[in-house]
Amino acid sequence: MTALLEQPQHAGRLMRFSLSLFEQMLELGLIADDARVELLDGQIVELPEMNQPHVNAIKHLYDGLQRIFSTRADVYAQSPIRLPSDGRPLPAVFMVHLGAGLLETPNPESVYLLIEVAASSLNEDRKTKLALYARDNIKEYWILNLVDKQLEIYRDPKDETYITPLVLEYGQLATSLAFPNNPIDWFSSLEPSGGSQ
Amino acid sequence: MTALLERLEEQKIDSALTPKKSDSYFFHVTAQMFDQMIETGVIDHESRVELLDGNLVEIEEMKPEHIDKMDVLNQRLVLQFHSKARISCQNSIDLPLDGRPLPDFALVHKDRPRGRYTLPEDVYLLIEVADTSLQKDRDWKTMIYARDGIKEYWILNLKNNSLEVYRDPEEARYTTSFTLKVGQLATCLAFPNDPIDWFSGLEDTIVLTG
Repeated sequence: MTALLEQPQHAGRLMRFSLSLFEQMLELGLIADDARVELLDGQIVELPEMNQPHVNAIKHLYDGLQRIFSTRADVYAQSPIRLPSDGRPLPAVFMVHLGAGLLETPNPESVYLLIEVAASSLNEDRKTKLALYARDNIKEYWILNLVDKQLEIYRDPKDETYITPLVLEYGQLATSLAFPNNPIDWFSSLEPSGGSQ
Repeated sequence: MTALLERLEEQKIDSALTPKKSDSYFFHVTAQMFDQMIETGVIDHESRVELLDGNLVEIEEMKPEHIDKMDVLNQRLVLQFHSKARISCQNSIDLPLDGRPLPDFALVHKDRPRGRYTLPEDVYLLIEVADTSLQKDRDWKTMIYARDGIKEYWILNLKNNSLEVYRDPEEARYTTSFTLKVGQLATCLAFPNDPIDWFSGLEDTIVLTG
């Protein structure tokens, strides 16, 4: 028998990777540049594969935000963000203060809004990631739920949760706290064309 | 690979935020990566970790009592087997499925080639001395060592001062296992004429009454 064996419960503690150790591994090439891995609370995890609707949704969301906010914020897609509690996730999309990511990987302080696009990762995005983002004070967190075609909005982080959650249905425009006068038609990113004519 | 993908969550990690088995795929660390991590100093001696089936697992800190017993057993093994085997203490064994455990003791063929890690076929006997690591040594390592063809494996259980003997590996388990109590000498399959007084120094009071 040559299969890998599951670690039984309580059978030892996994090593914790600090953020600096993880970045060192990336720098040294121990983890490939294009490896789809994230550091979450000191553990390295692999990102699930994305299907085409998922890829499209990220692209359209990015394009849409870029179109609306390009003069007021920098928009990143699937780029790293540094979290103080040994985290370096690659959120689907996030917006930061202009220039905040030019010289170094952005920190939570510069983030206006962070969005995860979730299909198979829905559970993790609602639990693990939500708790991590809240703990590290990401001010506003959205989950674009591809399964139910809804937008979940989480605001006012406190400890490991967000005090103000809100769910929007397909067709309801969303605004972020940082830019209340700029409604975002998030639902068009669910369409193959991204809603463009 | 489902075993890897469905790896159980690690309960002892204190935070509720730690990624859970059900929704995350833990990154698999290969033996090659592990070596590179050591070479580049990403992992150093202070890290105290071993690689088990692609997982970097912490090695528990040893309490003074643990160290005392390790040293007594070390001396005993060296005295008894120095002419017959190489005695390796807390050194890497190179297991085939991305495993680099650091067993407390390994009795190894004297004439095994130099300049490489010990392989399972070089090993007569592995011994883990366990108190806080008991569950890891018993629940996980028995499976790994059996699967990878370690012929004999002992756990010196400091929690209840006994010696657990595991023999005859078949797939991922040992088909023969029994437990010895203080006062019962142990012999390993490779050296049946060399009983080992594994319990000396374990429990001073018991030695006196014996």
